[in-house]
Amino acid sequence: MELGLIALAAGLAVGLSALATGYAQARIGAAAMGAVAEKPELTGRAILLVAIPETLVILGFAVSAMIILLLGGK
Amino acid sequence: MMVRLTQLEVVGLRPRLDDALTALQELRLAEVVAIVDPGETPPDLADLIARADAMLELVDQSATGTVLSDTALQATLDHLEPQVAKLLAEEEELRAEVEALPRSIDALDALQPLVPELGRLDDRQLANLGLASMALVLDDPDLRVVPELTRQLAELLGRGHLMVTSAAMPGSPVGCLLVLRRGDLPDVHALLGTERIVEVGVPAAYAGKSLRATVEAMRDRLAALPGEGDRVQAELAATVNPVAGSLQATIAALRARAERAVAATQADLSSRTFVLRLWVPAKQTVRVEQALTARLGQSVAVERLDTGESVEDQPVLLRNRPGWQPFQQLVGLLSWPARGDLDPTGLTALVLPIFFGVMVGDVVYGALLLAAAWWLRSHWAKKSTIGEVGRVMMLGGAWTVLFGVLYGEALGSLGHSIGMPALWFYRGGPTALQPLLLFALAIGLVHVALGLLLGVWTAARGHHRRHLASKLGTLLVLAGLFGLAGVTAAGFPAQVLTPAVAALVVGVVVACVSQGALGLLLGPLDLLGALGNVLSYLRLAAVGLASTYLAEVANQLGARGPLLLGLLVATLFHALNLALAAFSPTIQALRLHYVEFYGQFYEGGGRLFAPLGGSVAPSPESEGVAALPTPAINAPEPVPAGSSV
Repeated sequence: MELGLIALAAGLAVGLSALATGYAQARIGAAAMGAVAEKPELTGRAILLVAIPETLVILGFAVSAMIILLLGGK
Repeated sequence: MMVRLTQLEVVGLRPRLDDALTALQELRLAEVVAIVDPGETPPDLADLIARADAMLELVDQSATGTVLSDTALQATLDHLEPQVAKLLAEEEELRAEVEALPRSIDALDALQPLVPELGRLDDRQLANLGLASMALVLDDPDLRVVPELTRQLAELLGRGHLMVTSAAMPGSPVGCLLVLRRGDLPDVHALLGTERIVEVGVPAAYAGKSLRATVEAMRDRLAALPGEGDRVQAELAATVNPVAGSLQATIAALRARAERAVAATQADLSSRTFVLRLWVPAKQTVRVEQALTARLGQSVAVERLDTGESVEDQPVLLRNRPGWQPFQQLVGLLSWPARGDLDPTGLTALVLPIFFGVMVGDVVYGALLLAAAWWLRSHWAKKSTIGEVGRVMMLGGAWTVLFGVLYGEALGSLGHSIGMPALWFYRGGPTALQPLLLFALAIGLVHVALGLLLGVWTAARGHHRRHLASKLGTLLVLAGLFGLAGVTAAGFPAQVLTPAVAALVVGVVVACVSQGALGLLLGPLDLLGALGNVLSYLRLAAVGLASTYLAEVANQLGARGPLLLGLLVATLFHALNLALAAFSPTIQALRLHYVEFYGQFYEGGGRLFAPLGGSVAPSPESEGVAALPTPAINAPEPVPAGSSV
């Protein structure tokens, strides 16, 4: 039971932050593609802007890893 | 590496301006600085280039020939254009016919079995009976036109007509044969017009024939169309190819002339003299001087200007090893370095493939990537975009194999399960998470610290005290945190604790002070940002784990069920994983460079050095070629000098 809760918590940490990243990337991506369509030289900046919210899911992954490592090992 | 540029001022006699520009164009080592606002390509020249360009698209691009004069080119184009336009229109008609005929054939052919006797009667035979026929192909996407037409015809003609339609299918045209009294024809035409029925009439060439003869004639025509297309293509080639070489050479000369014409508008002109200002690679100034003197003799004077680093709009000239070219393009994808920036191409070329290898880390995947890269480079020109992609893949594949050996992975867990030893640690194991995370963080710490060190160097070189203090403070904080983490978790000796705390405290103070009045607010934010940058490298572990576990899923699914099905499923999943592995880690590695690494020292916003003649062929300086280039421009024509200042 406790192991299941730990797994659930780890999954939620990654899953919810991935949803947040996806939401942010969808908004930024749409705007960035509009900008690139008008100015192709902004492609690099567009990739950069779209990639920025990925930090959220990476932090979610870090929290998830900590949950597994600190609680799952007991 | 950035090449140092020097500004030269060239003063000469105005009638020799075009000679000077021609010499510079052939040398491809000098960019003309706009002393006055640059003008545009003269309209007549731009028009000739556009017309010749349009013709050039139709011809053999590899042909060679002599340069035509403007008058000869004009006459050639005047002679060719009407013939080419006629042939192109014919080609377009044939293309439309190829698209339309199958639809008409299908629709009318479906009617034949329904009215076999009527289908054999042509217009003359029907007229003898006092009848007329109309063969229609109706576009009826929502299946409403045919019932409506049936109802309206019944109202108009009563029982005095016969209408047969082929089976109506959504999206496909409906064939419709209408037989009616000859006298009713005008009323029916009027009805079709009033109801605005979308009518796809049978082409005029088939009018008057019986239904069967029409379908047969259409089939014959469809079979003959490819031959017609080939004939038009052959006529087009026979018309234009004889002058292809001349057009090719002339358009190159025209472009060179247009470039010189625009450059001439950037010169400062008096009634007798011109003044040109040039950006030239510092080591090539003598060659530029010699080339100008050789062309213009004593009627030109060249002087070096002492501009230093502070000139606005100074272009940047990058010169890197040939193998680094694709990585230089990746730097440019973000923004070209500005004057005073460091060129990060070399470090990117070194580190980006390593990151790729860290994430994918699989012997078989790496070998497949190497094979794909070898194939790309052997089938495409090495300097083409695809050839350069192949080079990047080759480096990434090599590091992938190396890290695959360290992780003991071949097709994910398959290597591990058949006894392949992991030289370091196996990522799919239950104890792998901790070392993998620490490894990713260590890479992040080193990479961000390297970026900060470069930032310190750049700030010191540019005398930006605040930037210098900010970068130094952040570096100290990271060093302090690393020491503290080492003492608490990694068994560093206790003596490290005091210097670590000291570095942390001093770093925080320096970082806050460097932000000025809002330091207490912005300083900690800046430090948190740097810490976030290091944590961001956890993606190296995350993406790597995702790849490992997807490969594990492929192997597990492959082991279930019959052997052949298992092999098929496993192959599909591994192919998917490999496709993801080729794409996602590249984006992630690129992001780590753009955001976390470049962010510490790179400003960007620069403009690439664009030498005169560079649009014809790349500058020898940017390619690292020492020999004088061969002149690329044939028989340039003089450019009329512009108005005086």
